[in-house]
Amino acid sequence: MRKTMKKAISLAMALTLAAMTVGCGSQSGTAADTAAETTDNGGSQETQAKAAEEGDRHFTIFAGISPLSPDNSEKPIVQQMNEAMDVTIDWNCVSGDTLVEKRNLILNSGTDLPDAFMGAQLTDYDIITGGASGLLIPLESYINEETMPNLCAVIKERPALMASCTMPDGHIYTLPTISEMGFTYKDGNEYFIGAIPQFVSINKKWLDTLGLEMPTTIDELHDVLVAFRDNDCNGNGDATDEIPLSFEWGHWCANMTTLFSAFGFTDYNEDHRAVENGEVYFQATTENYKNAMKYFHEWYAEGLIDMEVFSQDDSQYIAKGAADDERLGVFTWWEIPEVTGSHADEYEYLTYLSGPDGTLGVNLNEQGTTGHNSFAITNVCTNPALLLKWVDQAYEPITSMQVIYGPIGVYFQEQPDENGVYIETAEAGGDLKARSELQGPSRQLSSDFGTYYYMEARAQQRLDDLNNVWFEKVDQFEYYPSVIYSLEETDVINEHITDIKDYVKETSAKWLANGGVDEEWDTYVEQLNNMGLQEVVAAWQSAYDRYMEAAK
Amino acid sequence: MKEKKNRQVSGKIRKTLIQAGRSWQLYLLLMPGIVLTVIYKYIPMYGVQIAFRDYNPMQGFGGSPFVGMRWFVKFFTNYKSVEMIKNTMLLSLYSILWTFPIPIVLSLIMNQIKLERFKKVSQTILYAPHFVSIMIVCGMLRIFLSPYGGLITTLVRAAGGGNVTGLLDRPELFRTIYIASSVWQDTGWGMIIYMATLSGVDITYHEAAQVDGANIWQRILHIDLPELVPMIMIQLIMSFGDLMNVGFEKAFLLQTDLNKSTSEIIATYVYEQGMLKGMYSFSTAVGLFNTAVNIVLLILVNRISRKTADISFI
Repeated sequence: MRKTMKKAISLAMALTLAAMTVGCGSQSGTAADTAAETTDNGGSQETQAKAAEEGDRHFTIFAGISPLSPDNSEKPIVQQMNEAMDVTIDWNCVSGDTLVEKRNLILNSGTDLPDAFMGAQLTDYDIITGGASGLLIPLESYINEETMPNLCAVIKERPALMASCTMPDGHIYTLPTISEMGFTYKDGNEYFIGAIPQFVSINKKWLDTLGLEMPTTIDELHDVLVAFRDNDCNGNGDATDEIPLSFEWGHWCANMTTLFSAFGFTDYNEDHRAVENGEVYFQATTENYKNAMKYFHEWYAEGLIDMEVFSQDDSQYIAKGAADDERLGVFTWWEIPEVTGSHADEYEYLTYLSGPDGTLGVNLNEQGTTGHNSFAITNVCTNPALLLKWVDQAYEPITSMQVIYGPIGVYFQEQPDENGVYIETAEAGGDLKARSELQGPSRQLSSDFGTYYYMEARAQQRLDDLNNVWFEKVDQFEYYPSVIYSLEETDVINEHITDIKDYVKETSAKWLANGGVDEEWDTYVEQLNNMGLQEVVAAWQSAYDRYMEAAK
Repeated sequence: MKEKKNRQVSGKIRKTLIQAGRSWQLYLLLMPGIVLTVIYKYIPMYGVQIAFRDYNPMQGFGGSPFVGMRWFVKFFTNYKSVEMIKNTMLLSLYSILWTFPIPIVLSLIMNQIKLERFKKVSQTILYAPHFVSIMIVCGMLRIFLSPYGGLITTLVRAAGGGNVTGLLDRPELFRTIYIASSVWQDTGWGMIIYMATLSGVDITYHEAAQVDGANIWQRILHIDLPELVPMIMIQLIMSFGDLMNVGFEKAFLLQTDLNKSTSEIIATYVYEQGMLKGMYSFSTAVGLFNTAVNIVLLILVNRISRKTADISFI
């Protein structure tokens, strides 16, 4: 009896297993069938015939997208561009951290290469080595009225544009992106949106509740932070959930280096590079940097600085700012509302503070209006001319607008206003942009605003803030320009810079948290020099000198 | 004379072949394993040569320029290399020290439990954490260790740990956190093999011992433990073979700028240099060094175990 039972069970199990396998088999069969069908649809006989005539009309592109974004093939603007050129594209879209990883794997495996890289954050090193090895093909012969009329129109207006894409070997492997979001400051010069990336904001409501004045020096801010720490500022009955000062260490817009102004500098560039009177130097080995580290360690020791500054990510950071009971006293970000959510009106900008002896110094961030890594074609592409024709559409102003933001009818209203200028819909904004943008080549000349579309409100707000609030205390306007490095300079920089940056980041974090600057400073500087810091600075300097010479 | 010898040899071969043919089913069973090992372990070794070349995808593995020991020199002159090797070794050694004996002790205890139901349930509870993804475990750890209301932080404070903060940011605690969570996650899983061995112990040994008046403690010590020794030794050799192969995921996910002085191990460095910075030749060289140390350790421990317990693999 028991034996038969056992047999029955095992038989049943075997049957289930078989059924499962069959199920899987048939399922995968259907999947394959559908895939076959889709390809059939995509490559209809007509197109196939055409392909035979004018070369391949089917491309594969490896593309970077925003984490919120759907696959590029689902974007209306892409479908529109495909139809206009009668091409089909297989997209391999990757977002976030995996983008760099996958791109490196593809670049270095040399197999399964796509026809093109788009918005893939190629580094100069990738471009130069890719070009030298023949993996990326030179594009200069295609940049003409016939193949790329729209790009040529941009070049006509900005003749220096292609120089920014020309690699040290004299070839152009990548297409440019240009975005001129800037303002004219009262000194007559134009500055751009990234000039000061880290805006410090303070909770005005808390200040008022505690009857405190807006601080103007770093020591006054210290006293305010102490009060924030000791009181139940948000009034929820818990005096310990207030975080006096929070930031994200090493983050491009959430780091704390705006506060370093009290020690005579700000350190916005992630390579710690700065220039004064034509002299390029490394900021993290200056006496000022040392003093700042020493000073802010005291704040950390007193519990004025968020204990998670070295480990939190954006979502944790924003969660603190946007919590029901606001928890942040002072924080850094590129604007106020994104971090503070519904509490946005409680915060005000806290502009540059002066130091104990009245010192106040600001180094503007490096700003460029052009990028040159948004599109590159590899040597497996059999029909580069057509692919470039396709991508050239993105340089047409109205298409470009939809590439940068999102489609007409979704991001922009169907009908332009009486001046022929497109207006954003009510849903327009950060989230929708992230979902509908196409990361890749585009144009955004300063004259495009008001001609084709209006500047988005928060960008305009930011420019106004820069112009009216933040620039007020800036008196040194020199910044390191977008130079072009020679092959030797790239080699030197690439060999050393990552180790140098890592070492500075770790050591400074340690100093802020645990102190010990005075004892360790000399070994730190010596170590950096051993790691090739002087060679790197020399390479920066020679590229800079060449740039200034050419600009004369 | 020579012919005779030849005939002898060929006779030997024939004998072996006949023997093999008799149990051909066993060899057939072995085949997939051998094929997979060759395809996935031996063939890729061809790529190891890029550790000595300046790898460039267009020229391929064999065609890239030969640079000799350049990458090894770069690694050993790096300011972090000594620290990294030390961190890797210590993390592994401490891991073995804690995670190795605990499953043995626990399975010896568990084996004495006579209540089958309780035994089954508690075993399931113990090995369940093994199936939680490492991503999730690290996410949980980060939340538990948060200075603001983290479960563990609060517990430590309540237990009189003073006003402790940022436990994950303290380099001296990194190994403790890493290993304690490994013990929680993998003890149950590690027990399975010992439990299986113990269930195979001849029950008559125990009966005889009981008749002779041995208590539980004596029976564990003189019956169960000796039965486990071969399995323990094999497991030990294997874990030493993996000494330098600390999985990078966990260390990487628990890393912060402040604990890097203990959390930066060779595996995380190889990942950063290779996958994130695209320096494939360099990271291959570092990985190769790592493997070389592993092989040396494996052979060493194997030799020791052969001498002391007469158990060996190779």
